[in-house]
Amino acid sequence: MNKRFLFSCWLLFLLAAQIQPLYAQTIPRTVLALYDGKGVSEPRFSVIHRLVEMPLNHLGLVVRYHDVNEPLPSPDSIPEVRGVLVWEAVQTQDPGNFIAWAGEILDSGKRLIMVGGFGAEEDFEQLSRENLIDRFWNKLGLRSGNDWVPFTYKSRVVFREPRMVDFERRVGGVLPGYERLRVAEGQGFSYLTVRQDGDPATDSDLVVITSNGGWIASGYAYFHNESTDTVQWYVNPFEFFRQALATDDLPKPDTTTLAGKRIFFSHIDGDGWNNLTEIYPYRNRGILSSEIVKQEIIEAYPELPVTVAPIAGDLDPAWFGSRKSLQVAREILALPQVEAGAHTYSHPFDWGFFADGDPDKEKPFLKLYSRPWQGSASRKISKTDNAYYEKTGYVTPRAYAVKPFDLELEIEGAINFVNSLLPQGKTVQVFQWSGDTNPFPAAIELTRKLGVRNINGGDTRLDRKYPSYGWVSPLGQMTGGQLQVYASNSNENTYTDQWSEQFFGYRHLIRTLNNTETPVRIKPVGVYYHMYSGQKLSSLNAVRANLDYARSQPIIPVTTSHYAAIVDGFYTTQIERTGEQRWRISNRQALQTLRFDRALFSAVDFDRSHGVVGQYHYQGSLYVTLDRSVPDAVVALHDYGDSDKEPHSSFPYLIGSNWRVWGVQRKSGSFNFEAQGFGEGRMIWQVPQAGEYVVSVTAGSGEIRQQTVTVSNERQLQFTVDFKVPHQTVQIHVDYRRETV
Amino acid sequence: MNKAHFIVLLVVVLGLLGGYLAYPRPPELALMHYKNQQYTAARAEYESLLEKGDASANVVLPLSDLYLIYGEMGKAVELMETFVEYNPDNMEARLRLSKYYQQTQRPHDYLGSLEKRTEVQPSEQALRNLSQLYNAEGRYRQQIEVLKRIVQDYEAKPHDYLDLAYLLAAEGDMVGATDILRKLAHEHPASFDLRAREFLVSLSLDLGQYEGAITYLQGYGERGGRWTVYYERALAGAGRYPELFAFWERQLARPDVSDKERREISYRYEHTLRTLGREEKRLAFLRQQLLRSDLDKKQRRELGERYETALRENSRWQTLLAYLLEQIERAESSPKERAAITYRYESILRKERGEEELFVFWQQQLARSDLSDAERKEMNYRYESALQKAGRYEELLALLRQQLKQPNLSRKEKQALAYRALQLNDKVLAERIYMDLAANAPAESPEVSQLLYIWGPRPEPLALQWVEERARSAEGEQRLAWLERLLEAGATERVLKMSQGDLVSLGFSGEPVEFQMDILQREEDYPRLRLVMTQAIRDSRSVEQLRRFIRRADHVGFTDLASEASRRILAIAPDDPDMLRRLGLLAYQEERWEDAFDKLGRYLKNNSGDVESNYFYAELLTRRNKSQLAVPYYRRVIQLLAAEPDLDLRQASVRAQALYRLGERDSAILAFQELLADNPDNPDLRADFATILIETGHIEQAGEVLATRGQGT
Repeated sequence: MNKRFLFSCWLLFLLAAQIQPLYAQTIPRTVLALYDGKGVSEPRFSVIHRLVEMPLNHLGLVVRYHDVNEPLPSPDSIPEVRGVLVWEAVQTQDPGNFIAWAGEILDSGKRLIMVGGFGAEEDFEQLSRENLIDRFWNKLGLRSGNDWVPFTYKSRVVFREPRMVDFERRVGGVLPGYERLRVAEGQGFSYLTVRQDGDPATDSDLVVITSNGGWIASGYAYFHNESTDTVQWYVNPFEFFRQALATDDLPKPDTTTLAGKRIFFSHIDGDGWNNLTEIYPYRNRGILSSEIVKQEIIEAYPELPVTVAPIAGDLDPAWFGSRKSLQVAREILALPQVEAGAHTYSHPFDWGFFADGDPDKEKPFLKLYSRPWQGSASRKISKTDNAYYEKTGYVTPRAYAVKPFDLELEIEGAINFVNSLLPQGKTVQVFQWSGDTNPFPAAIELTRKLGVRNINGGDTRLDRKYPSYGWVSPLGQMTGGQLQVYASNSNENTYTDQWSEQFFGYRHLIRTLNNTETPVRIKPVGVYYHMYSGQKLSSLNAVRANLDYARSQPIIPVTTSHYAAIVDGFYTTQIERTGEQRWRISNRQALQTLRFDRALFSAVDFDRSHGVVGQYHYQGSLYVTLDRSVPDAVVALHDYGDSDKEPHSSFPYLIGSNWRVWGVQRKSGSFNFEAQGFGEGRMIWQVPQAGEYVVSVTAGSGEIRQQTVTVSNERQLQFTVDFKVPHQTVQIHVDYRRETV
Repeated sequence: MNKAHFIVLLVVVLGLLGGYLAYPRPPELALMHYKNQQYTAARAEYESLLEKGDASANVVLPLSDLYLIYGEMGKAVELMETFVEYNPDNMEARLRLSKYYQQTQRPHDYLGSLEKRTEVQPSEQALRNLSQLYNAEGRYRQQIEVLKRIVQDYEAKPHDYLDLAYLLAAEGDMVGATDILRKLAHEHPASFDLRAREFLVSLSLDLGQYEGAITYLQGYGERGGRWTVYYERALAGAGRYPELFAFWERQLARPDVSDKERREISYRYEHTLRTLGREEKRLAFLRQQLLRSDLDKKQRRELGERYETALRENSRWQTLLAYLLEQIERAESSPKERAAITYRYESILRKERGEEELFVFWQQQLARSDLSDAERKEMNYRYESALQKAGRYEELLALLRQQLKQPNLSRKEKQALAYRALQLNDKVLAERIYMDLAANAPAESPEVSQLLYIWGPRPEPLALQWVEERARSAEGEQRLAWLERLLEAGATERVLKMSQGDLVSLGFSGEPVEFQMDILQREEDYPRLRLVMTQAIRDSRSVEQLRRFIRRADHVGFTDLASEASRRILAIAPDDPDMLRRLGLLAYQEERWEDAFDKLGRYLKNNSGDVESNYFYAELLTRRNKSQLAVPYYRRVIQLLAAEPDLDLRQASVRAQALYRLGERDSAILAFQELLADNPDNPDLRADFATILIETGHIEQAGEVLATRGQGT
């Protein structure tokens, strides 16, 4: 090492030491969403949660809710906040106070998005207030016309930008009334402009991106028909929020993809475990639906892991279980592809009913239960006479009331009960919410304390009956500081009108799976159903059809708890920008994919990266696979000109695998790594040169299998690992042997 | 065959026949399997029947259900489509097909089947579903047609009317929309809510159906906000101005009318009158509004401005002047408002009645006692400017004198008045003001300066007496400052007289003789100064004072006295380095070599010295043939000169000489040559150079140097 080199190193170190502080700062990922706590009881019922949070999640953002009726936080106290989203909420509080606060938010450099304005002019008629409102709009880059157009029959759309509007529904028909606003000169761009009576002086901009946020006029973000429960976006929410929140600089933690493949997971709620099957020739032979599911589905698809979560009350002989139901449970849970879950003890329908911890509240309902904990059942009241049913849609607050409600029994008791049925080495990994899937914070907290993940809720649909991203749920909901992870897709219950008709309906899941993959991958493949699907031929066939579809797709199967851990990681991931096109990714838990959108001409710069397993270009995005053995990964990108094929590199890297890959060690002419998965492991690696490679796979048992693989000039090494033992980790060593003869 | 046999035979035949008849036929067999959930068998039976041509409802309907059970949705739909094609009037089949389309998520097909159903056998529910579907698809014209049928043929609900009206209007059929809304008002008056009414009114107005709009606005015009605007627009559109004016007047008279409403109604009222050219009524309305007692200041100002505008637009200058004067004299007007109104009044007055009236106005206004200082000042300024512009100086001076009489005039204002008097060349008035201002002012004040300026170079004795008295009455530095002022005024004698008297009482704390010297020096009375200084040097025993005498003597060119003072110092302090150097150099200049050698030697014994002292002392040593002893002093000279950034001729010459003395003759000659080239007409330089050349044996060259004298350029 010569002196000049040492000096260069020293100089670079000094430069780096100076440059680093300029970059090393956590990129804010939080959107502060203001909602009206007087209008909706919980944030999960707000429009933002139902419609907006999913696109924001897709853009890598976490949403934090704030009741607009509570004191607003000072901008200095929320450095993690990238922008503020106000959706029709300002009319509920003092506009003067809000405007002053919003001004501070904008002054602090954060972005502000307003959907809806200040309402009709008669609500805010004081001149001083109008001036305040004008000043607010000016700050956001808009000019107020101080006018409200209540009837729009003379208004016509004179400009629409198809990239932004007419997304799921064309703006037309009876236009909603609107406030007259225009983009201030040089301050932004309007994507939808309407004009009255052909007079340009009346032009109003209704969908606007400004230099520090955005605005959508009330009623112009999406169409809603209450009588048909139709929701359709007018505005492209992905594009609107991408621009308004300037997310192009943010690498997106991705929950849909692992090792370059779309994630698959499946889970079964135990409902209907003891239902006798109606399927010929098993019917009338006392065979349980759960036995059919075991035999016809779980055992028939061994390469697809599934999490089975019984209701403890269905198995416990002291409740409604039997020797047979216990036996079936033991057999199912012993299968290697089955992960154990728990689906409560008594199956609460209405979690909120039990939130205050008062079990006596249930007394009026006890006569409606079989074997209630007090008194006896009469069941003389029809459900239509039941006011509670009218309100909640449930006859009783839970399925069983053998004992008074006890949260410990419901969660820890259920987990312990299922654990008692498991073979050695297996424990419950995930708790699957029941009923309305709206657990109160203490319930979620208890699952976290017990070290299990949690899932359910969301009810994502994106098919012809629900043809809108508005029906695609966010990743989860944060309530009382606790994260509830949503299932990525809805279950057969919503496809069969609460299990009342068209039992084949769950087949339509495939439409949702397709639509959440194309044109943009926004959800993994999730096949979520109940044990009662084993009751009817049409429902059983529907599950089969969905699993057959999954088999045909390039997926990476994982357990349900693994998916929930990935979602947990989404919320905790921190991204620091450490240099030009270089980021440090930390606190990511099980999340191992980082997505760069609009990255057709970018590729991983392995020289400047650390802890990167591979990369894969898809749908214009770059999916980067991180190494789970490296807690703080560093991802650097560089420009890449050839978008037709994966980039050549002097570093071997993973393009895609249906097994998880980690611990990658690269040496000259060889590399090794660890892998684990379900079914056969099929992998594609980009290697530095063509030629013959020897792939050696060492199983946990010590057994070694070798194969020689020839790599063409495309430099893609493809091989299959045929150890089919789920959960077993294998060591894989790849050696370059020689050029192809 | 006997009877018994016949009966047995009959029973057997009947039994066989019954058995045959009771044995399930294929359709029944299929149904039996279907009901027993033996779907595979049932499906095979039904498919077999279908293949044999039995496409009856008994086969097709259960078979399609079976296809759904197997999840073969496409087959189920296809089967029903075929069945409906051959049985177009079978509503059960059509309903089932519609349901299948829904369940199989085929919305377009569902829409098509619904359209067919409503053609064949329309029902309200089907039409409603169709309407919703058209809406979902954005097919608004079709939705309009369906809604029309619902409104026309069924028990339409109020929202049907509204949906239809909104759609018709959005599609441009405003007349159709108003018809539907009128129908709603007629058939469902309880559901004709505020929004529906507003919608109908808005449409009617846009269609120019003002009378129709008025019908639906009866009793609503008073609601305020947009309703009032609609009502006014309708009345105006219908030309019913008396009603409109009466409406406005009623509104304005309402006890609960808000300020905003009043303002807006008032604007619209006035605007309408103006548009109609009813100017008299407009002016009367505004005047009447202005007379209201409940107006606050802001409202009064706004109304006043509108009234003014109206008067201007109608060239009612006299009325306007009267109104403005009234406003100027209003007690509650703020000074700022009054100033603004006054300004407007003045411009109209000048324009309409000429400047004389304006002067009269100003005089009247300035006579008012309730004017604020700021107002008075502003008005004075404008009045003065106008008088000056008009060349009416006498009046202007009179105004200044009048202003001077104002109590509580500030110092600045008085200064301004005096300045204005000076500008107008009234030195008497200016002197009076300045005398007044200077009464307690310090000697350095601008007022005293102005007085001295006014008095000129030879002030009157009275003026000088005033200054002298101020000096006498002052103390300390102020007294000296006033004495300075006296000197400025040329009153040296007065000052001298004062200094020879009780100097301490004058505040003079230094030596009187030096103060006297100061005065004489300032007066440039050198003979007397020499006398005073000679005596003072002789008398002084203070080294510091003698040094001051030396500085003063040097300053005025009394070199002999400076030398005398130096000697006096040396007598008192024999080793004083400054004096040793000074007298040593003096002795050298006067060629008193011994004295010079003695003093410079003593000086350089304890001091490193400067160029001159070192050079001259070195020369003296050389002269005594002590060249070796002189070397350090020449070297010191070279060293000191090297530190100088630029050498003048004298310094350069000394350097050349020093080099020569140090034996660096070539350098010395070169230096002299350069110097001579730059200064060819300097005889001393030439002589020095020639001397060196001669001393170094360059006689011929020395001759050339001397011969070329004066020929350089």
